[in-house]
Amino acid sequence: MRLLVARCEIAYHGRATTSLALGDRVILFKDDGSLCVHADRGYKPLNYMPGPTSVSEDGDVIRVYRAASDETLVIVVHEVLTDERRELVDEAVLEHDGAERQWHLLLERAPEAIEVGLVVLERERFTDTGPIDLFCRDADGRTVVVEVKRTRAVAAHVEQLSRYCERVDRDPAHKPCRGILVAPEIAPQARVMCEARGFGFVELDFGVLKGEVAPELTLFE
Amino acid sequence: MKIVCSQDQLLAKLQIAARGVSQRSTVQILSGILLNASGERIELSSTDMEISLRVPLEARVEEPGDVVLPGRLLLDIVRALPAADVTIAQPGGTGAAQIECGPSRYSLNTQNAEDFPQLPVPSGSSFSVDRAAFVDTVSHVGRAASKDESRPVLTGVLVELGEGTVTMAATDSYRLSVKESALPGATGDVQAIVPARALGEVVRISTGDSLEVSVQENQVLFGMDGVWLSARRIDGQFPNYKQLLPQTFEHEIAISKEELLDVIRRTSLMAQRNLPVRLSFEEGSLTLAAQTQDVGEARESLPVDFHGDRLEIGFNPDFLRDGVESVEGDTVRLKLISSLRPGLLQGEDGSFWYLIMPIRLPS
Repeated sequence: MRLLVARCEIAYHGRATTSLALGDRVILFKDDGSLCVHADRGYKPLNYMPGPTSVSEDGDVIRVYRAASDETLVIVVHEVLTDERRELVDEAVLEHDGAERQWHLLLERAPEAIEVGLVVLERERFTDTGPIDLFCRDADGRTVVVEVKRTRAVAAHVEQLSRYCERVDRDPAHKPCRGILVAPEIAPQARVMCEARGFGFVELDFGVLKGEVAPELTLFE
Repeated sequence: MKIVCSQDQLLAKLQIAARGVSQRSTVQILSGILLNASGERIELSSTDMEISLRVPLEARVEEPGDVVLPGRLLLDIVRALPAADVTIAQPGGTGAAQIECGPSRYSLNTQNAEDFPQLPVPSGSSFSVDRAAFVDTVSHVGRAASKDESRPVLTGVLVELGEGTVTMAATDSYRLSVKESALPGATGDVQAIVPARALGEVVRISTGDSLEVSVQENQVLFGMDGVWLSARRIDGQFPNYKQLLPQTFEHEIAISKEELLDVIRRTSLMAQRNLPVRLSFEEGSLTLAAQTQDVGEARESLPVDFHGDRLEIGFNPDFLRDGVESVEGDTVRLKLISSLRPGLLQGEDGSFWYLIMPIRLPS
């Protein structure tokens, strides 16, 4: 990703013809060839172009061309405020419905629904194989990795839990950790795998849990 | 239309008018500023349909008329112009507007002034109040208003005007801030829920000694040195804040405001990811502690006049800091009942109170 912050003029020709007078803008050249131009206000880009594109620079003029739709964007740079390139690593997937996140929040407030004495230390703890839903400590002080599924948990989810536990066990401070799979329903094969690997599993009705968890304290409803 | 005015005057007034320009461009005309030149009077108007601004401009009108210019762009252009006279003209009253200043020439696309919304004007029932007292009252309560648009009534501040007094209240359901002030000039028995954002703009824009207030059926207008800001009144029932105040408290502790603020600021650095700061009261001392797993923890004690059984209570550190900062005077009076009941912060004179709900602490 190239992040260019510049005082610039921009002209676009393609599906329409637009021009942007001189102003300070953030221009994102993404690795897939797409491009976004943002101003200080508003969430929508002033200009954008899906990838793939070809980018050419000639002095202060940057030309972006998208052959698939014959669109051209010309950026005349008057002053470069920042120009940097960064390699971004991001394998997370955007959750649209927020349901799983809500369950994480619920379980964070009521970890005893999973196991008596369990304390949630962190939600969505980063690991290089993905985020751990709930990173916990049990009543004996042992680290516990909890993987929460909002639908039926299957064998693939046990594999996922195994990967997380393997990562956590690399840290002597947490080794040996325990794994627990939480879902409204655990498939028979997943149960067998959990037992074989020493993982726990808990079937939870999130609708019931929602009604049982103590609500946030507020001054009024 | 043709007007001539100085660049610095135009810039100063545009900076005010631009605060009312809509940042959402779904209705194109709302991204513009209406420039109305009639007779000797020039006015800049903007609105995003929640607040509206009408800003007078000292200028020479060579040809009356009105035009809507793109607000942000106009501001950027005028900001960049040299310090000299600026001429804005729309020859024939249609088409592009011409802006000239020294050697700079701009031609700017315009929108039809007839499409610009009609802005409220002050009615005969306006009255003049002491600006400093009004602004001070807003500053005490404004930050407790909610930013959650799903409950519009909580995004407003309840303003109750009496004879020479004003009471303002704001709440986001986690805290409630109430301030009663003497307000020379206030008349009548008026209640209105005013968007907190509008009152924030009044604080930013207003100057001088007095503030004109006009309360209408659907709008509240504030006049400040010729600038009129209007805001729609928020419909709905504001929570009965007087009922929320507990009748009695188990503990009342007086603490040095600055000392407490410093400890909160230091300790809350370790309360990350919305975690609470824990207040532990013991005989003669208060300990504030915060802990974030895998980050660390902070703990600091200060002597306080506390007697009785140990009491632990958790608060959102930002909300607690807001409350303590808003208290007037050198001493904060903290009143508590239990770890799950609201706490009350007050100053020395009792004209301000800040009720704050605790956060459940993990056992």
